[in-house]
Amino acid sequence: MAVFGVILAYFIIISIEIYPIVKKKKRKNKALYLIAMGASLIINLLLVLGISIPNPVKPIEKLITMIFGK
Amino acid sequence: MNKEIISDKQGICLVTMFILGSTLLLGTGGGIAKKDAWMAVIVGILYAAPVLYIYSRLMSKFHGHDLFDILQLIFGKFFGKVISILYIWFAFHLGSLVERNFSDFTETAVYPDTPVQFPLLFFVLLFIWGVKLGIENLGRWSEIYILVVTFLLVAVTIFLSLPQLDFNNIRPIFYNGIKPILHSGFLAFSFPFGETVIFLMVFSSLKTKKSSYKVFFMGLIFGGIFILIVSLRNLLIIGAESMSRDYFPSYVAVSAIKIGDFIQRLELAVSTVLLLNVFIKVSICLLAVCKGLQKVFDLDDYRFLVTPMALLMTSFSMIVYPNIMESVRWAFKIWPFYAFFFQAILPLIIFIFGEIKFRKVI
Repeated sequence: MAVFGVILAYFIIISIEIYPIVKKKKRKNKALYLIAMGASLIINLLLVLGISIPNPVKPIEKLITMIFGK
Repeated sequence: MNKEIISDKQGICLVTMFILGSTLLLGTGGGIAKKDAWMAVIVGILYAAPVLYIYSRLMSKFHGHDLFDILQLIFGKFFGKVISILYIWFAFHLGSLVERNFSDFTETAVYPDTPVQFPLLFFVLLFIWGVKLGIENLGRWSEIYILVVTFLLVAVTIFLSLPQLDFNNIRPIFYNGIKPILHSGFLAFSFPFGETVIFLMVFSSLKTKKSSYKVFFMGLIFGGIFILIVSLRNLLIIGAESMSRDYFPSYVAVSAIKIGDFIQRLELAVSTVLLLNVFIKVSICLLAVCKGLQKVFDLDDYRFLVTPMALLMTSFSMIVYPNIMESVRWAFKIWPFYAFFFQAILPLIIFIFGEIKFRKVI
């Protein structure tokens, strides 16, 4: 149910926002928009399904503790 | 492309509200300086002054350009874009951390039974709208709402809490020596004051060459004074012990205010101020991300990227920490060192290269 809700919400947002982007006839804009939207849709779906996502901040933390200790 | 211009006053209001941001809630210094925490704020301002001089010098030397243009001018197209991507990541990360602070606050203090996504949803809609309208509108907005923030802060913090103040909470001063104060000052530098590096990415629209100095320094002074007032108030009301123990010292301190039977439960003032400031902070971060992507991908507009980036930022804020303990630990243990690279080291390198390469200009 929640998965369906997320997909529906994204569908509505994209259908509202895509029209002015398509009208400008720039493929780069359209591709960037769809890639970014797709990425956030995937992350949100994983969050809804309860699948743990690797935290991108962990490597930074490791690097900092490696340099400064503790 | 239409050029947006913001006045000096609007710039000062933006910087002040940005500095206040989530600091009002979390406090500065992480409880290291104990009773001298208020002095750590002053030390933090002193640390921040030379760094902010570098920022304003960069902004005035390359007037009308933002950081991404400057990077491409100085380091060439390829390396400029690489460093730009680093800065985009920094703005993105900062924005999601602030959002996370906000959602932690709503979850633990204000609406414990409401799913955290719900308040966040309305919030995200608001700043998508704000950023799509551009920096000019955000500037005008902050010019009005800074009055609300100032009124609530000054009225609630100073006048209403007078009966609760206990000056034994800050005495004796310098009890633990100077070292914890300097360390805590460093934390205060990296948590609110140094984060103004984000403004390098959005302030391509200042009026004159001189205005960057005025905007950055007046913003630093006003924001610093407010933070000083707030940390003094917290110290005087709840004391150093519980200040380092609570996640949200301001919230606890203000809830102690009670005058007669009818002026009490003033935490709402803290929530309101937090909401207004966090709105500006996240919007500026989001604007920086979108403008950076515009410059890196050579696009003609940034507005169509706002919604996907805002949604990404929000989902990132959900996964960035497993719980609130982790978020507080990160804010005071890891963040200062990680952010120092973006706040001081990289700007210094850019500054030196810029001064050498563009010696003739100015």
